[in-house]
Amino acid sequence: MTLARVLNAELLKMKRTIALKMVVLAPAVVVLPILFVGSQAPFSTFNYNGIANKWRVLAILTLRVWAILMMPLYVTLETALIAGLDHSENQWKSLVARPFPRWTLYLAKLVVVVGMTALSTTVLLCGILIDGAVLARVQSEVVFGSPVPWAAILRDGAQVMGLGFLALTIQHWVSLRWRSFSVGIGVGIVAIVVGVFAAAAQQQGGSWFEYFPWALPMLVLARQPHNLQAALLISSVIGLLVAAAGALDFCRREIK
Amino acid sequence: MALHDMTAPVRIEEIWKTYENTIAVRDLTLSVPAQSVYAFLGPNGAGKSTTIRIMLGLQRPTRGRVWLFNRPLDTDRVALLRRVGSLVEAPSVYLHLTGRENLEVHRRLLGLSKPSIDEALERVGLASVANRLVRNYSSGMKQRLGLAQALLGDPELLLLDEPTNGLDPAGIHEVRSLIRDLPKHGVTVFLSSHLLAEVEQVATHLAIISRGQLKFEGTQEELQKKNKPTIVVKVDQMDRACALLNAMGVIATHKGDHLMIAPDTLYAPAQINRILVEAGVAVSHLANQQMRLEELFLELTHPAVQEPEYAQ
Repeated sequence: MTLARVLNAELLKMKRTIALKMVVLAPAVVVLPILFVGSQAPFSTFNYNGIANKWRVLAILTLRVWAILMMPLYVTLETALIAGLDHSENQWKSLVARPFPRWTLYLAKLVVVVGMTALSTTVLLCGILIDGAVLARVQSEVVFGSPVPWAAILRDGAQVMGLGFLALTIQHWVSLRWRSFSVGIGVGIVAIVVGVFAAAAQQQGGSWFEYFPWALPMLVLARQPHNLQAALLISSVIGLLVAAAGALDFCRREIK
Repeated sequence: MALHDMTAPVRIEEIWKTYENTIAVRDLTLSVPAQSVYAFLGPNGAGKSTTIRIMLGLQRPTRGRVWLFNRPLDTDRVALLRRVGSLVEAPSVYLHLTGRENLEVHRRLLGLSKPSIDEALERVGLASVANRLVRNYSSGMKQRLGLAQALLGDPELLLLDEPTNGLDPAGIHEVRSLIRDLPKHGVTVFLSSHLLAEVEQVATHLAIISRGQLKFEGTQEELQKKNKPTIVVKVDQMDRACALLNAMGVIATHKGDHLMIAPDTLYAPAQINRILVEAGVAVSHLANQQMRLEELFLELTHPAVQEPEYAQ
């Protein structure tokens, strides 16, 4: 009940924010360039790993860019922007003086970030369908004739999100822990760069480096087969532990 | 005020707050009577805001305990904060939301009914600009909005840290009237300020803090009683008179062309006069001089750097 009240207040704070606009902008930044490239160079774009179903190829291409680059960037920005709402004007001194346990505030903010990431991923999946529909009309050389593999696209989208949960909880903690916007952004950018190298390690396989939190979402789309169930378990269990540790730290922190 | 006054909505017992190399609050004990306007005074950096933060559970005391409504804050924080409204330093407002939406955030947090927002807006005089974005508010309007947030939910205890900051004279007058009226509705107001003049018109009780230590706690009348007159003497042989009085155990010091004799001396002004004259010192002026309340406050809070000024 208390969590619902705090969550309700958090949702109102999102009104007129860049964080809210990012829900649509971030997937658009992936979907639109792929549409452009796909319409200009269809053969090289859609010739991937011998997969015949072009809807599947389009989904893999889009989700790859989302998983390795845009989703981590989006999470970095969203967590920093959402935390920034309360870091600015030092809102904590009025929020924490309200009658609810501090951890509910931490958790409500985490729920908002997760919800917005899920919403963005949904927008991205819709974008895949729009891209396919447009390409089918403007680009007759690529045949999108086969049925849309709904289940596979939804499953991949959900798994990318699930595997991104660990990085999200780390970013959330960092953004709430440090008042400076640049700390959250800095940690995110460095982690994304390292994540690109870790994703390359996934192609080789057999290295612990491939389980780097920011590279985990790429496991869904790696050419090498991986134990996705184990990776999902790692992401969710460690992610929950990070969230619990972050909430504990938030509860103990002094508000100056 | 009794330390263990169980009816007091706020009791602070021997709290200390230390940072790495600094003692912000030192062995502070306070008791705030119910339905009083309790002014917590001290210069900037005296420990007022730290004390208020400790009273709200934003910071933990290094030692000691805070009791609100006769229950310990450290164990009953959530239940106790339901009865408390606060405005700590600058108001915490969301600039991208309207005034009404800012209050709506706090209404949702408190689980109150919608009309409570209109009541709070009316009380602080912001009803006409409630739908304007707060980024377009003046600093005085933001301060009023902060007050409206504090008043939401009709708290029994209101903790206000420098509530008239940024307000114009008319705004200050309105806030004073509002604060003066609150005890009539059963509210206890704990009000911090660095200016005695700012609060002496509304405060029923005063506490004066300096460098983290309590210097005075009581009513304005009790503070006035502390304000014992100093004897001011003008003589022809300053050094001789000073040495003579000091030898008798009277604390006398030079100040300009006057001799200041500390209160609590064993001798009445007439006796001092006789002693000096009999010793051959010519006395041309002798009078009791009383400090204004503001001067007494300055002496209590800046004893080393601020000498009280006396009217000639």
